[in-house]
Amino acid sequence: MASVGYKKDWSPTAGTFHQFLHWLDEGTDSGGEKYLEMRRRLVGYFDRKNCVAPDELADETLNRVARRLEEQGAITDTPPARYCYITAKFVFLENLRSGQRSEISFSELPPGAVESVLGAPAPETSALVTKERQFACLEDCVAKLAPADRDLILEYYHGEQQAKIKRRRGLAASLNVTLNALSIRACRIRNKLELCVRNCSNVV
Amino acid sequence: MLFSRQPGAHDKTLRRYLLGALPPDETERLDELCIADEDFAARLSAVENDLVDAYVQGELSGDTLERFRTSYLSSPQRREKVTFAQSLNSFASANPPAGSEFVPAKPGSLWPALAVFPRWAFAGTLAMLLAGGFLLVENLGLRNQLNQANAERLALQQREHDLQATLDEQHASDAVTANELEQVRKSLAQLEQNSAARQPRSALSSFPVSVVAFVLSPQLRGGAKIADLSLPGGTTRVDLRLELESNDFPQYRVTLKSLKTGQIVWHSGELNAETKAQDSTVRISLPASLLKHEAYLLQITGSQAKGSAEFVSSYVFRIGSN
Repeated sequence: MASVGYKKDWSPTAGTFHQFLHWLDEGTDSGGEKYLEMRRRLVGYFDRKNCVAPDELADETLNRVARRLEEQGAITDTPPARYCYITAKFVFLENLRSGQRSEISFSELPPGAVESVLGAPAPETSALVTKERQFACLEDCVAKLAPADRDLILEYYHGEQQAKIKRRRGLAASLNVTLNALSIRACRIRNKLELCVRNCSNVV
Repeated sequence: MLFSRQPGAHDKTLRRYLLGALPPDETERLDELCIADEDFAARLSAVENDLVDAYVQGELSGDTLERFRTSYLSSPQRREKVTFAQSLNSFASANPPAGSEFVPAKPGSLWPALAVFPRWAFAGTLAMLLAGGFLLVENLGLRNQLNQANAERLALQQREHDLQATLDEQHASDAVTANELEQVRKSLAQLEQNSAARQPRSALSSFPVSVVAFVLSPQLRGGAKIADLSLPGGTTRVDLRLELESNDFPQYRVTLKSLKTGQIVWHSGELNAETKAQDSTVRISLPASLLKHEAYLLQITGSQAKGSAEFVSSYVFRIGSN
């Protein structure tokens, strides 16, 4: 994967990182959750922009913000999330100018090219091994969830179509929340699981 | 507020955003919101998961499907999300939450589940069988053995039921599922035969496990007297020896149906007949709790090695009061 090549010589000290987490938390203590969530949003943003290395660009964005925070001592004129967006936009534009914008969208490919790409996955055995590994990781990650989260995610995704919808309504009623709140709660657990599985799959 | 937080009101727009179908200015507006607005980011993430799930479950069509394929799947990260969605859906299907009802899979959901859970489930089954074997060797006592066997039997029966339902409902001859189904049935048959073989010991045992055994003859054409079976209080298992007129098949399956409701209440795995002198029988062992004070029909079908099945005989009995 191509290297982004920004200010990679700078990395936050423990103190700077602490200060950065505190700033992102805006007075609360999320235990690093806000940082992870912001990183996830940034990765998604760069990925939707078809950048080659969305993870690296997200880290570059967070590093820049942390550095600015260290230099200025405080950033008070802009809310943290919006400040991160503004920085991310600069990082994206720089990346664009440096010619590292990514893979092109499939829609930009000539006819037949999509099939040739999608139709040429890893060999079947390799894909099966990957799936099995991921499934094993998923088992581990689900086991690590808090019991209430584990029950919720299994209940939320169990069943199909109408049965699933009915089940979700019942679950929302039993938790005394709206369906929208339930879907966002399930989504947070899922995102946590997805991250855990990704880390686990890379280690195994 | 730049974007309504009314749930669902803008999900369609969010989908179009995720699929790269919005005009640039609108896209940029949502780019900002997806980082700067916590509620928007949460909603977008939920919509994205739903979109990926819909793709995985074959629910997308037309332009949405086309855009999903050409735009969304162009990124390795997003393809990873699809793979994760497949695993998560499979996992949730294979691990119903405690206390939930069994919800059979609908047609069209064969997709990724079958590629992953059979091996996993079979490993669990194998582990249970090994655990059962270990207990026997350790001679921890007949009661433990029976309890273990019962637990294994129930687990295997449930697994068999699930797999059969999967195959039946999807009308697909997925080799992996079929293979696992075969393995589970073999394990179940072995367990049932072991259980039946243990029956005389358990009857003589001083443990408070009560097994009652009966021999049933096949119904003849034109009907015959219904066998009345009395189960003493405290009976935990009912072992039935079903007489065969002839032993023409390598394996048999037994189905128990309530004559009152017409529902199948139990079925065996693949069983071998036992032959002594000229008499062949098939043994089954049922949990007594399954049987109410009503009439039941047992049906035996014989299976050929190549898979075809044929009705062999039926047995009718009634559970009477003690």
